[in-house]
Amino acid sequence: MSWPRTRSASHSVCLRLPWLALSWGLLLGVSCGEPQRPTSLILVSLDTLRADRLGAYGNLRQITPNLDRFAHQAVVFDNAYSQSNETLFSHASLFSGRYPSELGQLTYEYLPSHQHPFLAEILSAYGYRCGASVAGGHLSPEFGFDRGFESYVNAREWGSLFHTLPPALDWLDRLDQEQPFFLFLHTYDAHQRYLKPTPFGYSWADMQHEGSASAAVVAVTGTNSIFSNHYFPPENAQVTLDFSQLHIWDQAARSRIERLALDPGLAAQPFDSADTDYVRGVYDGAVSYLDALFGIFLDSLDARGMLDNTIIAVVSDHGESLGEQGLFNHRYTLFDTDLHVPMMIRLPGGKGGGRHVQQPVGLIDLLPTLLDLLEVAPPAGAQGRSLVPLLSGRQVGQQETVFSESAFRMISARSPEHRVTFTGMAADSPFLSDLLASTPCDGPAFQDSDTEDLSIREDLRRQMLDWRRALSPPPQVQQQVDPRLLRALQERGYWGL
Amino acid sequence: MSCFARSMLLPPSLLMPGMVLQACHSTPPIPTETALAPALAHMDRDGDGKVTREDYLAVAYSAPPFGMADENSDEQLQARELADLLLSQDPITFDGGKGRAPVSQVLDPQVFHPGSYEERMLGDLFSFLAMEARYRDPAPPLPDAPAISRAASTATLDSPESQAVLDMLHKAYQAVDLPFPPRLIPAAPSSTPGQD
Repeated sequence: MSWPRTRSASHSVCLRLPWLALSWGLLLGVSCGEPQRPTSLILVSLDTLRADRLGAYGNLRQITPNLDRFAHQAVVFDNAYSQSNETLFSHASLFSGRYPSELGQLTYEYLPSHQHPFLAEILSAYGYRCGASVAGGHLSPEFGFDRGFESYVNAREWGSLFHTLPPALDWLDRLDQEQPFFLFLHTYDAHQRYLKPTPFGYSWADMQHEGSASAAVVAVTGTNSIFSNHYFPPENAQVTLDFSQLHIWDQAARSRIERLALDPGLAAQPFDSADTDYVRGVYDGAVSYLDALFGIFLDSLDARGMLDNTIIAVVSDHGESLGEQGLFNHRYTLFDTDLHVPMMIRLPGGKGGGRHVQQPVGLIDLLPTLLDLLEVAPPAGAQGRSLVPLLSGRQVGQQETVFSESAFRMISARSPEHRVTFTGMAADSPFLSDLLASTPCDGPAFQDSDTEDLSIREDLRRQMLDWRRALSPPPQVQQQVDPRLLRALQERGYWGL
Repeated sequence: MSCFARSMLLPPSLLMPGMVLQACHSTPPIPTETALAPALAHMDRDGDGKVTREDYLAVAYSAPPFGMADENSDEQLQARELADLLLSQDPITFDGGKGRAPVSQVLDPQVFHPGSYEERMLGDLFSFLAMEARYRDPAPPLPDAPAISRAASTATLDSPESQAVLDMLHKAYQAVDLPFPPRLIPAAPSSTPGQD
């Protein structure tokens, strides 16, 4: 790894509007007026970071002093929720302002439709230089997230800010100082495996702890095998698997957990509260490591004089279960553990910094918001809404329910007080709305909700139904569906004729 | 070999403060002190204002010896030394780990979502309807898994197999007084598929 030279702090940005942006502005009827200093954008995605780990979100352990320092200069959205519980689908929504199921089939061959532009494609058309430094995994270029970027560096598979920061800084230093830019920076630091180098790895956990968790935090995918407070034994062992505590009704998700749990190398051992605390402590160590590197990034931007003319948005794409409901890792639920994420927007110069917004918002709102701040027209049909009024303390409409989707046949509605989850049908199923409309709220499909109050479930069910009916099916699906099924669906009124 | 790797091969006594952090070009050092000050303070477990050998050993896992981290040999870890320590350890390989292979090399999408889109959509539909009916009353006959699978594999709602499954599910819903999705009510009775 090599850290690039820093840019002279005395550089200045040319106050010139790119000609292409001017053309677009005229085309869209935007008033141009006097040329203005272009504002740049940095979007940081701290993969798998739970919101409740940040001091800015109420954590008293002070694990994230640098992120908290940033939060004092930013507008903090206290109740931000991702639109999916996995990297692949969540970033697709983040980049497009649309729900994952609008962009393609929710499988791991997911390729977001090109019919809906990504943030980099939009900004590139407006003359922004667009670069990205990512840590592979589901952000590898083969999944299509490099659309619109002139530079898309996959610094290290499942890597860290340790790997992605140098290429990012190097790219910034090589830019023409007179053009606005968009940088996307990504890391898997908070993703398993959690254990990080000294002194961070055990800075919040007892390194002397011995138990079932010790192997889990060292292994690359160790936490996959911890469920319902037991390591699961080899297949030939005579032990009953206890799934009674798991709120997983989706058979595919349960099957997946069962397959992962039957690791031949692990002996049957109980996983007690001390083990859970240990895993949480090592996760917190990963977060403190991530925070330290983020602080270096922030100060590097300051040294380059970029903080006065750059919007910086910091988010996570999803959270992580750490023993809640007996689950670890992410992907298997739409609980807050998986969906409550940090979302902070720092305006140039730290304007309005320190404000906290209580209204529930989604990552899907970030694209329209950032485009609004840059005075760029949002793509037609984007489902997210601009949160710019919230940045200055005003209200944004009446919508307070945030919706999310999972590849494992789950959708959810999150109001300020409650979450209702509908389990059993994929978000990209043409039958979802019918079943959502007709299924009573007291059955297994709604069992993952956080309330037994049927009136609350009914209210959020209605909101989910309105939400689904307003969405269009993914264009890829309509093109690829077997003609026999497509005809049968259309004859019954699905997807139009 | 990176600049950092080269610099870490030098004896600590030859390392000038900030040398490791300087890139191959003559540039100011990367700012680390502000970002790492809290981590350094947290390392000071006994609160004596110094990060000593004991403080270091309490958290040292697969790490350089304290003597190597303590570049100026003053028996305490300082901000710049912590920065050198941080930036010299690759978080993937620091303890001999190899990291994970690219997703494309290890992920079999069919494990998670087997079959075609049509099979998955129809299979989910029939399974969901069966689940809801069974939850309310296990008595009414319901299509079994093989029958559902056969119907789903026809890739259409209009096949005799799919219509038979829908008919059975419709009857089960009527038996437990559940509303059946109107658009999916089967057209006419057909032969009985495999029962659960």
